[in-house]
Amino acid sequence: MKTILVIDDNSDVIISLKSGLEDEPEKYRVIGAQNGHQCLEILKNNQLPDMILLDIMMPKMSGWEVFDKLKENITWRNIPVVFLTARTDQIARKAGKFLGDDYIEKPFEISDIKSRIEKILTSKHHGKEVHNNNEKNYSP
Amino acid sequence: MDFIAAGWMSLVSFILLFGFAVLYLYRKDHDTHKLMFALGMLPSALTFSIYTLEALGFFMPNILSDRLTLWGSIPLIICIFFILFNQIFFKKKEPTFIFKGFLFFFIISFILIASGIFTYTIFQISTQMAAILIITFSFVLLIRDRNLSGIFFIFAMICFALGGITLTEFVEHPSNGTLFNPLLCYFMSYIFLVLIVITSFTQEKAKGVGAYFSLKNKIQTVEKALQESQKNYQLIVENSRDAIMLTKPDGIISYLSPSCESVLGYKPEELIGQRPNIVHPDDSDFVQKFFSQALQGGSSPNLQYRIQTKKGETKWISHVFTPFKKDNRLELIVSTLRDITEIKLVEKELFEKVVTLEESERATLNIMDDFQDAIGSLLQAQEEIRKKNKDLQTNTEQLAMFNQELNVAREQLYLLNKDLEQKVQDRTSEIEKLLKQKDEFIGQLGHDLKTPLTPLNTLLPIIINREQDPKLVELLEVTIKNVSYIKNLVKKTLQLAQLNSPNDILVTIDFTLSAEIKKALENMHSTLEETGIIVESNLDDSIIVKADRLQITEVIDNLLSNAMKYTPPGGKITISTVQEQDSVITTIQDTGIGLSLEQLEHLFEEFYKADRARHDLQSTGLGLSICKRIVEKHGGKIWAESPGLGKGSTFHFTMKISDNKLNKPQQDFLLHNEM
Repeated sequence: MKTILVIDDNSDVIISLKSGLEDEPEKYRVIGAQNGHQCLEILKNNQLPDMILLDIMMPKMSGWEVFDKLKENITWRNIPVVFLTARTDQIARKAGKFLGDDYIEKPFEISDIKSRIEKILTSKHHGKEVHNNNEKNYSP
Repeated sequence: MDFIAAGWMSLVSFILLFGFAVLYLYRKDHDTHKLMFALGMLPSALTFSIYTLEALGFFMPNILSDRLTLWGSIPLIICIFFILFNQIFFKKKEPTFIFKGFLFFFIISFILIASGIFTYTIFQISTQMAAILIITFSFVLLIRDRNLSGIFFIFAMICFALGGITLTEFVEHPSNGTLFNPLLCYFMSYIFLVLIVITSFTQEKAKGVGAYFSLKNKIQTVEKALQESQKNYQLIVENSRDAIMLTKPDGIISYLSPSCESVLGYKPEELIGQRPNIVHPDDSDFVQKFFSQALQGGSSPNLQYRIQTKKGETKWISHVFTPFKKDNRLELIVSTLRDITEIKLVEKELFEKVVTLEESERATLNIMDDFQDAIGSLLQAQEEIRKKNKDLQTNTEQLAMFNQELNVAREQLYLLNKDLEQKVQDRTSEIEKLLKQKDEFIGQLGHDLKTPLTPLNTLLPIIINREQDPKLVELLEVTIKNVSYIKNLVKKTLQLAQLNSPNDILVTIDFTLSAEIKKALENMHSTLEETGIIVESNLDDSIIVKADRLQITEVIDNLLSNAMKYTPPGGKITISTVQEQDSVITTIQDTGIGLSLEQLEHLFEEFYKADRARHDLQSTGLGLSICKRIVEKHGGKIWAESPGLGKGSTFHFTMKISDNKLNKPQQDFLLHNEM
């Protein structure tokens, strides 16, 4: 089961994702946070999620700031982050380099979200496996 | 005074005058004969002066008078004797003893007579003998020389003899005779002697007796002068820069001065004694003709012609010649030849210069004429200008006023312009600001529209899955359809707004066009199978374009989905790419419902729907507008064709081909494309 941390100032979005993903309770568990501070609190309480879905346009602390904080921390650095946004014009796609692992445009389809999550998580897992295999190859 | 005394006195005066004249001649040529003659006359003059004194009644001692009378004739007789002797025996060269002998006899006779040894009787006998001898010699000379002076001399001697005889008779018998006869004889004899002297001077060359009285030195001086002048002539001839030539009548050269070498280029000895032809062949004919004519006429012209020297050089020669004739027969031709080559050259140059000068003078005259005309028109123009100037002054004053006004207007205009510029700037920045605000507004509006759509879009499918009541499910389906429409509408509107915004930048990469088309067809595979529409593709895999891949994919998707939507099941869609120069034309043709002319006209307008009556929730009416915008942003063109309603339609769009055909298409950094 994968734990997904959703950060969005709009609680309706959190509810939508929670009900959409937890439709398959054996696969996903969704934790919601309505701002950056709440998100950092949750992470500090050692409840490390498998993936973070992060809204960009939020009051007080924007998604970019939260992203920077995550990358500053050693333990949080490796958690994959997928941005959620209704404003594609603000995504840094045009700068030629995208900071996060992916982004999803609002309004989204649950099926699309699920396939993206699977894709990212398997690629991460696969990377670890390859790494492990390499270790095995070196053992006597 | 007695007549006889006057006669003796005039005779003495005559003898003295004559003696001095001879002495004067002696001083001129220092001929001793003349001195002898003058000395000979001195005792005669003395004797006759005693006679004069006696005739005047002066008492004279007998001895002195007798002896002086005796001595008076002797020196003259001796002198005449010597003269004759010399003439006969030493004609050519005169011996020096003559004068010395004369002086000796002159003094001896005086001593003898003065001492009384020489008596009157001896004197008489000797003088008579001497007279006979002298007259004989005179005849000999006269016969030999046959000239006037000889005759005069005989007469003079006869007169002397007669004088002596008559005088002796008077001395011996004074009562019988008079002194008139001897006086006349002596007078006559002296006159004849004077005549001899005069004839010797009038004759060119004195001969015989007269030779003694002609000026010997005169001849010598003339000869000397002649010699000297000859020498001078030679010097002149031989040192002259001009060559001097003497030619015989037959044309043979008899003399050439040394300078002929420098003038003619030949040595004198090479030409003397010959009849050379050194005249230049071109001038030869006219020179010969000229010479023959000139020689007949006897003139001495100056002829200029060319010659050829020994070395073959051509020289200009000036030839002056003078023919000398004797008894109307040509004897000699004297020619002066001068090298005038340099002069000719200078002359030629000069002539050329003169010609040029004349030409330039003529030109100058022409110019002067023109100049005068020009001055005339200039003066006219000046007058006109003066008039115009007056008008101009008034005009200038007006102009100054206008100018002032103009300056004011200009200043106002400048201020206005400045104001305008400021306004334009303000407006521009205002518009920029508004555009920014617009972009921001659209962005914000999109966000605010999309955010509430998110739970609707997510939650409604969950609800419909859980709902059991079929009636409610039907209602939910309508809701979902409408939510989806709003979602599409919002999305496309925002996309169009973004494409129209000047801030929208294309992210271009090189990619294979056919690959993108194939991908789009693959995505539509299931739908195509359901409808049974056949797709025929005719794609050029080598075409690589440089474009914003996401945007081009959207154009292809849009056109393909339109074609599918308006083509009935079992229809056919043809898709092709054709390269044309540096562009590629993509054509999507269907056998669908087709388009009317009116529809073709408005097809690409925003929110235009081909079928207004139909309430189509699947079409927003923005798809083709977005396609048009994207294609135009890439510098291409999009257009539609249709033969009419129900006859299918064809869509074309063009794109630029990438410059780097060799490059492999780049991979987009995005992990997926958003649809």
